[in-house]
Amino acid sequence: METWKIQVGEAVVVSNILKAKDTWELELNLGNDLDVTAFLPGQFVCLAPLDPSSTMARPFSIASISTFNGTFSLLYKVIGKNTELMARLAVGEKVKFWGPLGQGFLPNTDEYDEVWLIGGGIGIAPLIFYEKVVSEFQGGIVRVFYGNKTGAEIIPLDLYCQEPLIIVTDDGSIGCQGFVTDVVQAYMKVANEKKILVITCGPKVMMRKVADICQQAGQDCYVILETIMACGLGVCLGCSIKTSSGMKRICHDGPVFPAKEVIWDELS
Amino acid sequence: MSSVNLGVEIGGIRLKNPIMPASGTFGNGEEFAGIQGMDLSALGALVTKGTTLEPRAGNPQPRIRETASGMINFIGLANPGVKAFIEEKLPFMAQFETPIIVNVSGFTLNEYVRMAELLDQVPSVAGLEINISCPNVEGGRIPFGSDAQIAANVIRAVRRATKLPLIVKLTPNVTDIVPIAKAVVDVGANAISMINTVRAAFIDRGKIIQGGLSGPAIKPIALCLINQVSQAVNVPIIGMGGISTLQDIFDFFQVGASAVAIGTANFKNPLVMMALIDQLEKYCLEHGLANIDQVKARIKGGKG
Repeated sequence: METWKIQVGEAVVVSNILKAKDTWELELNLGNDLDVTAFLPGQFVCLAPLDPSSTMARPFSIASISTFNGTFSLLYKVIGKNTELMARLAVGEKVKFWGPLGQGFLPNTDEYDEVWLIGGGIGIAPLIFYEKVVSEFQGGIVRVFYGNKTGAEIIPLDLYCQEPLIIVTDDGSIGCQGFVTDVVQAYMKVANEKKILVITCGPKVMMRKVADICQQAGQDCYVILETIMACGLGVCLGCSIKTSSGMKRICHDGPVFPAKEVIWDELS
Repeated sequence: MSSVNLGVEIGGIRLKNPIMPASGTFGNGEEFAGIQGMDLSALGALVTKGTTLEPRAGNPQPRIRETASGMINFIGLANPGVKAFIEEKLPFMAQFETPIIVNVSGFTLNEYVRMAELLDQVPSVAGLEINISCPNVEGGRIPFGSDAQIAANVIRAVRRATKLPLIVKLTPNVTDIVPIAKAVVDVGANAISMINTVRAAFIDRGKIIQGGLSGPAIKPIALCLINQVSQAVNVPIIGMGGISTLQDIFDFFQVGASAVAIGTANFKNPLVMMALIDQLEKYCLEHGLANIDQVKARIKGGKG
């Protein structure tokens, strides 16, 4: 029997704010019956689609929790009908949600000199949660690398770690110009004997490159995979992928996977 | 305790209410059991994920695509195989005192027979749902269920292999479904479940993916076909195809279904079956109806 419980309920919109171009932060309150303290970094929630003609659940990474307020927040990019409707949600409105979903992954940071969190685009969302948790536990250095196409899409981040945020944009409008993976590569070259834990989330091509860099440098890398899901619960098998350790459901067995298990060509 | 009895009998299986999950949308119950507010013992039946003789990894990505009021799946009957199912999955399901209907899928006639023989020996199995929509690899990959004679051959052979109630799941992807329904009933099917998904395709980056369409988009197709079959056979029908509301269930009752299965709707509301059972009971109480026969009589009188 599963030891975890998936909560289901109507969450109330506390705030719904445009943070960068097409990118919003939605904060939801679970009320008295539900409990955000069970939410772990790497986990996600599903929201029922707002478009009545939609049939599939909408998965979103948990970007932060506030145990004091009983709220959690997620980041979303407006890319279609449902996210357009999400952007119109007003404070006080309710959305059906279920979660937390997936296996949370809490790294044993004592084993590492540094933890690197590498996000691309909206993939920064779960890393915001990681950054807070890891900064609380980690004695060593925590670095956040955040890549996006342009500065307009970069959301402002309040970080807990000491190291400055490393922003990389394709056009150089904010931060370094180029790909975030190039900057990671450069940092890795001078990392020498340090033992580094890398957690990455973003476009497949970016994560694959990060995984390559880590493999060549002999560093541990975990990837947070994103995909279309129908249920988010592990029953529809719509997100199952072949990995080096067998068939895995991204929603239920992941979404955090050791990079070395991922067969990149098997991802859609 | 209320005075309402929602019980129905399907091919010799007593269900406490007419609402169950559709195969493939409920796993084998373990995941749903972890959901707050979900009670597997409240359901009419537990219907398993499609099970095959040998383990199957299933298809590569992409496996699913949302369409207008529907979704296409191309899962490929991923499952651990019947032996692992019996040993590893069934004991969990058996603790809820809810009848377990095992969905049996085969690619040769002998696979169906072998599975029926194995499952016949397992006390916790209440009945078999025989999925005859699979391609017959010994018959030009034409689905068993698309030909009345071939469908009857499968069910006749399975009938000899087990005394368990047989529910035959019909595919809608045929020219005329009625002769197929009649043929399987003639050789011993105790009930019909319908409809399986409607053959459909989506395009993924230049690649054409053929799968099965489910969800509200196929409800009118299901209603039409159940209406035809219910007039031609005298066994109970489990209706399915895009059900998500109480009114949908009533529409399926109206065309002749005795029970219903909820499929795709579980994905956008994991507690939808619990809500529908609750709504059905409240409806009966509100209208002074004591059982499902009285519900059907009221609906057929034009009152929703």
